[in-house]
Order: sequence, then structure tokens, then C-alpha cells
Amino acid sequence: MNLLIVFRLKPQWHFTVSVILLSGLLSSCSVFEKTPEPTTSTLPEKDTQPPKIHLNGGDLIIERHQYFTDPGATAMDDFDGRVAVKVTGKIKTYALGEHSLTYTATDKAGHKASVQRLVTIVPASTVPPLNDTGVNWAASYPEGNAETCQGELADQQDCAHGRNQLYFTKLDAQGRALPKHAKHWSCIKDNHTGLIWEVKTAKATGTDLHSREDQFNWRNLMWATNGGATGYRNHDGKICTGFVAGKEMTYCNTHAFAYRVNQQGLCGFHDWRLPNLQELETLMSLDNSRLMIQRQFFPNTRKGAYWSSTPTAFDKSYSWHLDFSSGRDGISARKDELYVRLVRTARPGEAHAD
Amino acid sequence: MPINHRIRYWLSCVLVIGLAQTAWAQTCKTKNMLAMTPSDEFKSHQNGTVTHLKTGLMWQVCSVGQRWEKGSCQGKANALTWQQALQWPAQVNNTKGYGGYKDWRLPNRKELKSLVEFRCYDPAINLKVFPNTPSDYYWSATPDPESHYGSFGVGFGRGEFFSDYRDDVYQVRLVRTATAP
Repeated sequence: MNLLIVFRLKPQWHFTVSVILLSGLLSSCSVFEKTPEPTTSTLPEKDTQPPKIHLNGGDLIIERHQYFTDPGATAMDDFDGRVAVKVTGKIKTYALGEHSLTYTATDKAGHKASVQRLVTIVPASTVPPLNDTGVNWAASYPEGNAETCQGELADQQDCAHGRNQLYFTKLDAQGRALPKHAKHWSCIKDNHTGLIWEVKTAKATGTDLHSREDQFNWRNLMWATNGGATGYRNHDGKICTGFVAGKEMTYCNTHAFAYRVNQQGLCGFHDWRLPNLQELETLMSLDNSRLMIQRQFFPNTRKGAYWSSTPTAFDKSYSWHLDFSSGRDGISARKDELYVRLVRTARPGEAHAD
Repeated sequence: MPINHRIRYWLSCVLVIGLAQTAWAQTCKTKNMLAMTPSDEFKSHQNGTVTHLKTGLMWQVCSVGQRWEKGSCQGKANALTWQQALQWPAQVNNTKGYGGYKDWRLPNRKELKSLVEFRCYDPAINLKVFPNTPSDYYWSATPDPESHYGSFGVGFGRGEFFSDYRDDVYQVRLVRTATAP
């Protein structure tokens, strides 16, 4: 055993010795001497300041029974550089009200800094306020579809009622509202439903966290909402961006995906979740028969089913999905590979709110 | 007991259990699923109408064909073609109205879907708010853009959308816009 350690240390010693020799040579040679940088002169002789802690995401509002992802914090010390942050506290997402996490960082001189993150647990989403179906044309009986809202009984049909328009706002990567004709946006806010949606990108799977091609197995660790089974951790391997075998939080399931997005943040938010089926349905717009979604706001939508968070009450190995190419919903086995579009609820007082 | 009497006895037992099950057939998963349409998100007007506070929609508690009596729905719901379903609100609105209002209409597919209680099935609806709702298919006012013959509806057995021929007959529940949400 001792022999082994000596063998292991030996090359390192060689390295250290050669580094000392080399640095001695260099320092003796005035050509390599650097003039001191101005920043070094402002560095204090002694470390008197505690580290500064930066909270990713700040205070958070999380829905009851959602999995809580801590977006983390970083700490910088003027003397020691980056220092480790310790987190204490626990977020009990089953309990409504205020919870907190305390982030502590200590530098080598023993100066301690701490910052609190307030996490407020609010009731879970149910049915959102509704928007329009997008239908602006009438049907005839027993067959035929018109181009406009005219014809027999048209005044009784969908096209004659409701708001008859959808009202979306594009948001940039920081969550700020963009003008209507902006060419690049990261999220969409639906001003009728109060929901903010992830926007998918045209990038290929493996190159972007929000790739339109990424697919997932259904998974939910929260027993109050998972229908009685957690679903699948890794049924299909590499079907999404970031997959690394053996690293659970890189797996292609809906739980791990929401975790990754909340770690990184999207449009400055860290409370993304899988939409329930009622929320997902509000994205339907039936004015385009090829793909029933407003594609000028939600580009890169795929033909095929998107997962909802809604379990099926009659079989815990299934969950509900919605397909924007057929306009139908249905149930899929949780081990199936489906697309995902994450959502969050806009909160009053948010920076970008209206 | 003679053998044929015994068989008859057991048959009647099975029949009674079978009937009891059709009357109390709803199954709800209360442990591992949250309610999508909890009763406290509805305001009853005690006159056969109820307002869904999340959507601002006022609904008739009973399906077309049923009568609202003593807080529940009596009688059998009527099955109508899509055309009849579209015509029905006018018959209500042009006579005495319902619940004091004369602007009832057939709900669109998003509105109809918003009543589905996914943690229950057979039927997938909150029976405390909408008592005696049959586990049946209901028409929406939304035609199917994919089909020249079809319109959408919701199956309240499990809560899924369907699209079917406009001359097929399904149940109807009327709605009106109470407050702009």
C-alpha cells in the first residue's frame, strides 16, 4: 500500500520540482518580469470583507406539489475568488405558504456571508382562464366547411362567439416584452390565460436544451400528482439534448428536463413545469388545419403528441397528451417518446407583466 | 332451495349489484391526483345554473332533456344532432330563457373541455357540481377543420375529445359568458 502511494506521488514530485526550477529560472531573468497590474494594487493586504453571494433566480413562487429545483447560488470573495456555497433549509412543496433556504459562504479568513431565498408555495394550477379556439369559419350541415363565418346557423357556431382572437406577447431571453414583429424570442406570454410558454428552437437534438426534436418519457416523482406511479427514468436513452449515460439528471424524461431548464433558467424564470391538459389545450388554434397552433408565435411545433402533466385516473402507466396535427388528445404509455413544451404561470408584479 | 331457484336468486343478486354499479359508477382517484375542477371553484346560483370562477362561464347544471329539481337533475338527457344542438339555445332564449338569462349558447370545444375532471371517470366530471351527468358524449359548437363532415365534442366518460359526423346524435349542455375573465 505504501509502495503504491510512493509510486503514485513520484511523477508529481518530479513535476513540482521542475516547476520550482523553471519558475526560479524565469524570475531570475528580467525579460519575463511583468509590471504589476493595476487591479493587484487595490487588493487589500488583509482579507477583511466577507464573500458576496449571488442567488440565481432570487425569490421564487412554486406551485403546490411541484418538484422544487434549487437554481443555486455563487459566491465571490475579493481575496479568495470563488468560494463554495452551502445551502440549508428545506422546501416542503406540500405546505402552502412561505419557506426559505439560507445560502452561506465563508472565506479562508473566516468571514461569513449569508443570503436567504424566499420560496412561496401557492395552490396548484387547475383550469386556466380560456382563450379563443381560433375558429373564424362556419360549417354547414350535414357537410362542408365555409371560408368565413357565414351560412346556416353560423350565428350559433363557434366562429360567432368568444373573443375570436388570440393575444400573445413575445418575450426575450431575459423575459422582457418584445415588439409584435420581433424576429427572435425565447418565450410567449398568453395574455388571456396568464400562461408563459417555452418556445422551441430549430436546432438539432443534442445542440440545444430547447430543441424542437427532443423527446421524453413521462416521469413525475411527486406522489400527490403522479397518479400512483413515477413513470420512466430512462426508457429510451438518448432522445433529447444533454443525455449522458449514468447521470440521472441528464436523462430524457419530463422530470429531468424541467429540472435542467429550471437550473439554467429560461427567460429569467426558474419555475417551469409540464402543463396540465387543460393548459395545453389553450394552445390549440383551429384556423390552420395543417397544424392547429399559432405558428407565427410557436414556430418549430412538430406533428405528433405533446405530453401533459395530467395522469390518467384509470391506468397509472398512462398520461394524457395533445396532438396539434390532429386536434385530438388521448392517452400515451409513459414509456412512449413524446414532445414537451414547458409552461409557467405569470405572477402579478413580475417585471415584464403587461 | 331447488337449483333453478338458486340460480334465479344469484342472478337477481348479480342484477342488483349491476344496477347499483350503473347508478354509482363514478371512480375518482383522490390520493395521487389533484382536482382539476374542485367544487370551491364553482358558485351555485341555486336555480339550475352555476358559474365556473376560473373561466367566468355560467353553465346549466343539467343536460338538455333533464329537469333541475331539488338540487339535482331528473330525467334522461336528450341526444341531438349537431344541427339540433346549435338550434336548441334559440328555443330557450326566444321563450322564457333559463336562470333569468336569454343568451345561452352551445359551448366551444375549449369551454366544454374545461368541465372535465380528469381524476374521475365514468363520468369524468364533478358530480357535486353537475349531478346525474351521464357518462356520455357531448357536442361542442366547434367544427372539425380536418373533416368536412365532422364536429368536435367531449366524451364525459373519460374526458377525451372526439370528432364525429354532424348528423350523429349526442348530449348537450348549454353555457353563457357571465363575466369576461
